[in-house]
Amino acid sequence: MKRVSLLVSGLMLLVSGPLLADPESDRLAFVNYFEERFPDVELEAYVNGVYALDEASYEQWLQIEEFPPYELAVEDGEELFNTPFANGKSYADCFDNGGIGIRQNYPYFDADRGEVVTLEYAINLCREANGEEPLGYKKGAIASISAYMAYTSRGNRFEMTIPDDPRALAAYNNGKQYFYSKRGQLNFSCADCHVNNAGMHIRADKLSPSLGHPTHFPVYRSKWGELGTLHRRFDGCNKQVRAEPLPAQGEDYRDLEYFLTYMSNGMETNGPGARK
Amino acid sequence: MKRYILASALVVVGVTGCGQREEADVMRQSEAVVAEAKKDAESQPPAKPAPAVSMAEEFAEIYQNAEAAARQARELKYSWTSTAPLLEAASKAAEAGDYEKAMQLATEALLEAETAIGQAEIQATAWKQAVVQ
Repeated sequence: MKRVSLLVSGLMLLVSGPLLADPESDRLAFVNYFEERFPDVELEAYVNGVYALDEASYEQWLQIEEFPPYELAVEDGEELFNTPFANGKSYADCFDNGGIGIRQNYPYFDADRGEVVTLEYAINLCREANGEEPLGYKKGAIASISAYMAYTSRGNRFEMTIPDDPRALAAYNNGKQYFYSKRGQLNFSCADCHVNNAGMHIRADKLSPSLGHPTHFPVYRSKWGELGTLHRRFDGCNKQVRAEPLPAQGEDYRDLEYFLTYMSNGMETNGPGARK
Repeated sequence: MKRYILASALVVVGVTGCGQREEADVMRQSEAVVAEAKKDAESQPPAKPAPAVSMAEEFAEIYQNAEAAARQARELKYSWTSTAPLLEAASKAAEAGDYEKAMQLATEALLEAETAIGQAEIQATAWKQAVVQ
């Protein structure tokens, strides 16, 4: 009887493994996958995205970084960050350490709010708490402010912990499910491109690996000709597989960012970035 | 013996004769029934033809179904970007009176939305198979 119970329990674990695996086991498996897939790429290099996989592109990108296209946006962001609200307070009053060097603390699960809070979400929460209108979440002022805050945090490591709160784990698992679920008329998941086909060509471009993805956002994309946030990229990716995008900074996208950032836990933040 | 054969012959003739008479009776009766049925049919008013469903009504039904399915796909967060333009194009074709084109587009939208709903149902569990182990 005992043997049967053990066998049944073992089989159940085998079948339900992907759902019950804890975040840290997921992260280790994720890192291991990319280390095996690209044995010549150092773990720390993944913060450079596709440029970690392609030497020629990497050299071009280094040249671009000598005169970074996001520089003006960072300056704009610093000015906006330091401009007081109508009530006399400023962003510095909303964030730890006056908002300097804290990018790596986001996203986190806010137990009081019962939801994931990303940096851009926190910027608008700050604005609303001080009687200001919220900013659009994909580009413009919010991207510039986020870029400035990311710039002051460069080199700091993400040290996320998912609290012992079923709501936090539910948010993580919601993000995980979103990442691996196929969607849109083209029936692609995030994983299809950025895990299974990382390093492969899609038309003229190479697909970037998901490991290290959130570290360099917000990002100046040549295609956009300006700075954009991570959720703007989610929006674009969804449209590219012909899935209607969900709201930027809505629950699902914040949970997706939560999952993605945990997968890159321990890596350095290096935003804002420049990408093709 | 001769009397026996003659009697048998008489019985056979009698029986077949009876059969022939019954057959004739049945035929006469059948003819009468048919004649009566014909008389009845001629006295009935002609049947009204079934009402034709207009193309506009047919389109409206397909379009409503497509809209409902698209709404369901959106609620499941699985809507496709290609579906709403199909519905819009169907609506415009109907406004222009091209119901054949309108129905074709609305049907396509309906098929897309139903496929998206199916995709959501499948992915609710299928995603687990893709998780990196």
